[in-house]
Amino acid sequence: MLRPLWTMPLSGHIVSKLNENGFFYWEDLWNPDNRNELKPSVHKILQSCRGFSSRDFQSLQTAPASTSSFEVYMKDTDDIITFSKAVDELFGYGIPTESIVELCGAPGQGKTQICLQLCASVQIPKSLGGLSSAAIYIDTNKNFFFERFKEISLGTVAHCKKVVRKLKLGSSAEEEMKTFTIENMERNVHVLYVNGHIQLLAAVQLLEKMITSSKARLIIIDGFAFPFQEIDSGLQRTSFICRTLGILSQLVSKFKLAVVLTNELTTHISPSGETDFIPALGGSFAQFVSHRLLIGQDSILLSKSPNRPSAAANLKITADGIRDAN
Amino acid sequence: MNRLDSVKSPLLSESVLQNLFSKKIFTVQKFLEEKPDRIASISSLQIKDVITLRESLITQFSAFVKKGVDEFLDLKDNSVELESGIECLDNLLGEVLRTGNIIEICGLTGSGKTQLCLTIGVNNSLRRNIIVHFIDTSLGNFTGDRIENILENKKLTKETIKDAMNRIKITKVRTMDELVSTLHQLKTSLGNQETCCRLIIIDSLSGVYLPMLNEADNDGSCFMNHIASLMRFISKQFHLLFLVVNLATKVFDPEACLEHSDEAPVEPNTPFKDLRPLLGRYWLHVPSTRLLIHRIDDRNLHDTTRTISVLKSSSIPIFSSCSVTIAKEGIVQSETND
Repeated sequence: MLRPLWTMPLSGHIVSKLNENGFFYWEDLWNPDNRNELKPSVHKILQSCRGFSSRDFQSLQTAPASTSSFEVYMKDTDDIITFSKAVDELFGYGIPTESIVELCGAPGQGKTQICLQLCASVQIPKSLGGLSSAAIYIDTNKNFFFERFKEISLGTVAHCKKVVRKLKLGSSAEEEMKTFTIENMERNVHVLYVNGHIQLLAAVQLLEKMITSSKARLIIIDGFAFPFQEIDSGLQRTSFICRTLGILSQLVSKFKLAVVLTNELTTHISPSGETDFIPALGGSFAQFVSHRLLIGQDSILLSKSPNRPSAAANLKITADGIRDAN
Repeated sequence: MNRLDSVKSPLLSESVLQNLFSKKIFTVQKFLEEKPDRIASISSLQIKDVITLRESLITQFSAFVKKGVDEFLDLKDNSVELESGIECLDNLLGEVLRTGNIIEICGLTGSGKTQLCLTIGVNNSLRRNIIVHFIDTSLGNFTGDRIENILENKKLTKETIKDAMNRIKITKVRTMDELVSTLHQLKTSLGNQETCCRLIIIDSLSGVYLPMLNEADNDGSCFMNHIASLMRFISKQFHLLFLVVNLATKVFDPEACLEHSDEAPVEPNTPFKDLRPLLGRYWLHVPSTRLLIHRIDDRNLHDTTRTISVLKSSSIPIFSSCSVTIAKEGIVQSETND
């Protein structure tokens, strides 16, 4: 079976130009004696096309590498702690990187609080077991309050200082703690306010640049459902949501990010007329989410996860941030 | 290859090809569509040669007629019957998990589709010593620790676990292009490998299809069509089984809710009427068997029991089902199975 040219990630005009000249399959483009060389006639056609580079052309057909599951298992992954041991244990050791986590709950249950806590946690110095990196906070309904983030940062710094003193982590940890200040923490949270789904999609497309310059490992999209509510057509909404998440999931694996989305609850009416609260945005959205957390009053339930059983944990929201219930 | 060249027949000399190309006759198909006398006048070949050329091209590129008994013997000698390793499911499915088939697992999110795939993958790698390819399109669906976890709870030695895990190969795929590339690469690489691969799991197809969803054009369907033929080709050529995951969504019909009154009971013969597998109408006919994994109790999020029902099959009664439990050692038969 041959590979048709239209399945290649090539621009439309290159494909149609090749088709005009009678080339319909990828295998037809290459010299039969030397598979790494384009036929001279093909090379001539391609050179007249804009945006063609002969160096990368062959790599267009390269498939992603496959690894054995043992290698995947042995690879270390980073986690972001939540400061509540019970919540961390739902995942193993904290919110895992290389995944998209959905936080779902009714208004006022503490979704934003958990997001703010994670923005602080992701900055904990490496010598204390943190990631020592930055966070990007995409805010769709003006939920981010710097005052509150400052409060949580204060709590985080105080806690870390206590840990360094208590465990006697040595001079390197103390050195790192010197730069772990409230000012630096504020500097390392990059807040983006977006209005509407077009701006959100644009923001997500710009993320790659921001991540490279800021070294962020955590992306938060607070109020993910909100911008999509303005789209009337169901198909268009699904299409926008899936495109946004498609880009995000590529970034997640490229930069080993943790992405945290907050979502709302909505009423679902079953065919028999019963009503129920379910997470908004439907099943096609949930497909892209690796972990789903449902937040209730002072408790949290892991309801979807590929590697952990569903379980619940208690937590409380204090002035210093998220903590264990007792 | 589709394009005419001298490899296909010695009659196609450089000058003949040049003449044909100048009249936009590039491909075998186009050549066969034209009348022989026109070809003869264009290419300056003799009509006798054009007829021989036509016949040689037809024999090279048409499908062969095979005797039924040969086909059966080929099936008997080369195909393998795989097992899910879940007792009640194997009883239900019989010979459905035979190589050469495409089988779909669909279900709502969080219903255990990935868990079922992991269980079947692990059980086959363990019992049959075969390579299992796991193509993962969604983020983190495939985690090494869950596989390790399943194997560890089966109380095996460290060496056995390591070997079984080494036989499970993971390819992370993010876009439709990458999925097509991966399948095309498998098409070439599977023939060269010494250890045989009998199972390819794609979890999930809907993950790469959905971002292509668009009102304006329908590229997604074209790709699904190409992928379906590729999968059929690979599954027959290398005698392996495709296990494909598809998402199902709840059909929400606001009017049905408004119209709902006491006299509108759900028709007794069609369970799961409110569930619909994605990937469009075309795809519905591609898998030979479609299984649905479903929570029994929607409200109880801690409930680990699921039913697996047959939605499409040519050999087992539709809607027959069995009940399973998601346990530490993967999916197992429910204890209360009747």
